[in-house]
Amino acid sequence: MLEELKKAVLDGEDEKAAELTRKALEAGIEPGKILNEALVPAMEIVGKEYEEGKRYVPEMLISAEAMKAAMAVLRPKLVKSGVKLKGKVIIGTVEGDLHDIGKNLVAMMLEGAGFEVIDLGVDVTAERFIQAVKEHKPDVLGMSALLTTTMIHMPEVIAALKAAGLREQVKVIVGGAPITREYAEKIGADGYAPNAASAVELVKQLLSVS
Amino acid sequence: MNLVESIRTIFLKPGIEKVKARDGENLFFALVSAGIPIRGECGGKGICGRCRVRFVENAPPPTELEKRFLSLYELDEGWRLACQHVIEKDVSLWIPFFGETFEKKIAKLPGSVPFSPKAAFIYVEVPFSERSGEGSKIENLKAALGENIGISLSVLQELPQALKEGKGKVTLIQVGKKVVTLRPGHRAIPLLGLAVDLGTSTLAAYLLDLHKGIELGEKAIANPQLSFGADVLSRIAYVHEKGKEGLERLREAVIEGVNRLAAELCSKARVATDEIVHIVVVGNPAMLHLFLGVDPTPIGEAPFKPVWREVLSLRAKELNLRMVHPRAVVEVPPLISGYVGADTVACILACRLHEKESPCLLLDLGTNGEIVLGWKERLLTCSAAAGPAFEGGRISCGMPALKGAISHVHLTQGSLNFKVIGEIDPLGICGSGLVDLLALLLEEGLVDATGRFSFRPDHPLFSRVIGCGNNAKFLVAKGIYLTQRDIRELQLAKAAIRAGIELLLDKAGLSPQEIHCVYLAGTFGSEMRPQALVKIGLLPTGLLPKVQPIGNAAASGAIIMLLNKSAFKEAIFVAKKAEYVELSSEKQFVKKFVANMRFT
Repeated sequence: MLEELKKAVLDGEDEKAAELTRKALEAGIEPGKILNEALVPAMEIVGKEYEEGKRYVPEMLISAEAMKAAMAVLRPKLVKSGVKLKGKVIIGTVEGDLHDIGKNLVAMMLEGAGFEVIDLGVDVTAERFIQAVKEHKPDVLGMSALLTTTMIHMPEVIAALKAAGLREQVKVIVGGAPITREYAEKIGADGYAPNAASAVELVKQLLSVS
Repeated sequence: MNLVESIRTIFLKPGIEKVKARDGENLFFALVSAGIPIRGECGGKGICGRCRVRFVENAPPPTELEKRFLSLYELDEGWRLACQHVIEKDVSLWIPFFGETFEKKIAKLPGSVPFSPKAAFIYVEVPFSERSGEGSKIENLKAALGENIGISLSVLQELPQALKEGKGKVTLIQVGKKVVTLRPGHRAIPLLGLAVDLGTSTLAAYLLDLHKGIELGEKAIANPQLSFGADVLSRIAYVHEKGKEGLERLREAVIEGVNRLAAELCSKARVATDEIVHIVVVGNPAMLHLFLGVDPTPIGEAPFKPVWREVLSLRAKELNLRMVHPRAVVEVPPLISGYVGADTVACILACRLHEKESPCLLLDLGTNGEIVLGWKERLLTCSAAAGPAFEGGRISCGMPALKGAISHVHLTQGSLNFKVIGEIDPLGICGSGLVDLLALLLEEGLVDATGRFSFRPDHPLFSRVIGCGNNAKFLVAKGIYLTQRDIRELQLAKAAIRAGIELLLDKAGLSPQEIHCVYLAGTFGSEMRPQALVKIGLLPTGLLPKVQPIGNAAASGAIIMLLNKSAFKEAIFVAKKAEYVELSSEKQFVKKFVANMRFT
């Protein structure tokens, strides 16, 4: 059944993925097992295929949507069973920027890799990032910008973290079309990933988890 | 320590130009300040890898960054990125496309535009004798005209001399009620107008005789601002970073471009530049902000509001336009939003969208794809961020539609053929060539529905596919490729336009079948084969027979505003009637965008 679920996610069949998750739970399979033996490996394949050029954004998104549908069923059980997730990530698109495809993909890939993700949405101001960091105490803060004109808000958020004395508590990662590794270094972020698949690797590496 | 600043010489090829630069100056910025149209979409930040130059000899050792952007072969040939090097000695460089300009074909004016220009000359005769009459010279002049006119200080200063020379007879040159200048005597004097289209990639100008109603010439050049970024956003970011000084540099670049166009058009037509008295300038909102030296940064962020939207009427001198009469009237039609500008208003005027009985679609496919769905009831507008791909930007061998660009690609008896602008050896590939090529690859099954190169060893063209996965590329001509990454850029661009079209149709509650006509504006649009646009999915299949290319319609609209004084009123009406849809805040848009990335 877990193989079937994995296949449903790979094929991007969201309703089937949700249904199979429900069935797996009913059959008494541990929520942690469903996550780690079906969803995580499926999203690993999706990520790998993206990196190899076998999938592009639409093909990646349909699988991510299926994974999300399965997670919606699984999440309450995961919480109840006390499965320890790999870490907590807060993510959002910076102020003045309304793009969310890339950010959503990163969020879904991270979730599919077994992280807890809190998505703040788009047009997120520095204050809202800070407030969320205070409230949720994440391990990682991810920022996305799709416009050359809005990426300038990234260093503002990092400065605000420092001012609030929160910078040491959280790893900051950045991404989006106009962002480069050099830019990430320049603004003092802890990491940069060129795409959603490598964002997962980056977060794992920063938190030293596998 | 050397206290005297050393001056170095940069020799530029394939032309024969020489440029002076300071020792230790960054090569990219030295070329930019010398006005050399070098590509540099990031503005010298080392991000885009486009400011390629080839050192003819003694190339400096490549930097790590260059190793990422350039192949070993290219590095060997002396290719480097200008932004990565400082000038330490005299150098000889080969710069792609340097010195190449091109002629842009203007659209035919749709139907006949009633000829009643705003610019006109008026013969006036006033009592000349100092003793006759009671009033001042101006009062006499006004009395003779029988209407109110705007008199400027310079006109006052010119008046006595002109009256004296003309023995009471003067010829007034007016644009609307604004007096530009006056000449002694009564004679038919040249009366010229200039229509200017400020495109993100190209600047185009058209010289008109406003007395006879004929066109005297047209010319287009690459936008000198290209050095500061290929798209308007990177130019806005440049202003954000450099502040007032950055804004001034961008303003100067575009003003100098317009000056150059005006000077060259006048010299070719053998007319004096100061006979140009009326100028209509259209362009996208960001370009117009930069042209006027108005801070464009509010357009760079949500909610993307322009600083102004109404019609502007200015004088040439205050804008530093030097190749026209200093008091020439410069008019800018109204804007619709931060991303739909005077150029779109002009396009609407040119194809009379606001008068159509049934819904028509207008596409202006530049870096920002403006889309209008309109007829006499409604005008729905939006701007889809297609990126610079259709203009050859961010494409590995892409270039604007300049001399040397592959503009069309087709198969004849199984072999690949292409057309090159100017019929020289190809230097790169422009938007229309890219779309043709992609359509062909899809047609032949060499690229699949997901946009990936297919493994088709049986196909005769497959031998042109080099490498695999994300590194695959298709050999078009010697040294010219279409890479997997290029296809991804094109997928994003076409998906944005198609999603924009679908969203406007949804908003109007219309289906594609109800579209009466599709007007394709812009140089890119007009060069496009509609079949290729349908094949790549930019347009719904059913619209194929309805496509009508209309050339540079923004410029046509500007010309109409020079030729017909009521056209400006119409422009105001159009801008008021237009509804703007902000795509990035529409949830449906994202869905449609993703769905349309695929090919069907």
